[in-house]
Amino acid sequence: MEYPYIEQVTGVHLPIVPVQLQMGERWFYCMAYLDSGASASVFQMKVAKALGLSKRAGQKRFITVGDGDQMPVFYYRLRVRFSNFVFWAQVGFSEALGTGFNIIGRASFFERFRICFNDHDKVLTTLRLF
Amino acid sequence: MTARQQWDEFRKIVKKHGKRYAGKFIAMVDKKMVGVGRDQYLLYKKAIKGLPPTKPVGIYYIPTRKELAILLWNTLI
Repeated sequence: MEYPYIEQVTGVHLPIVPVQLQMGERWFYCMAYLDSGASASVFQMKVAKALGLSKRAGQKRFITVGDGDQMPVFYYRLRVRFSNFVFWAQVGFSEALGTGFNIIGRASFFERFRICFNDHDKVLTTLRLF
Repeated sequence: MTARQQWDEFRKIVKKHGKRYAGKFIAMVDKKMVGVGRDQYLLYKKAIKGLPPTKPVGIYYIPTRKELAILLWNTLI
């Protein structure tokens, strides 16, 4: 599938893609920045709250961020729909995430899709691997 | 209404109102924007009021200018 980059300000494009998380019967539609440098996905803690996830049910781990700081993240196994494909994924949530948008990292996602960033044409392409 | 159709609609909103809503979340049901706010949880709670439990709701963030140039990186330990 092809996802044109989001253009918020003229000339500045971001590889932000739609992703859906399931909780109960409802799908929660949201968006995430695809970060090939991130080893795991981290979403805003408020998304976890909206999904009704409790901190106790998550697995607490620490991740190291760009400036060397460690960020606490609570991980859950969730049903995710990405690029028209539904699968179980490890998704982390953190109150310390400093960006407004969520981040999709390599774990669970880059294992399932070949993801190509075409910065020349400002298009991101995903191809399901299995 | 597919997630993709809603996403395409969101992209149009970003293009048209990106500056106005920068730093805020918008809630969408089908192709319609149903709310704007800074707290995505409250926005979501408001948006699902009166909706059947299977109806999907979209909560999308519009990045600020500051967030357009970023270095993202994380490593699990």
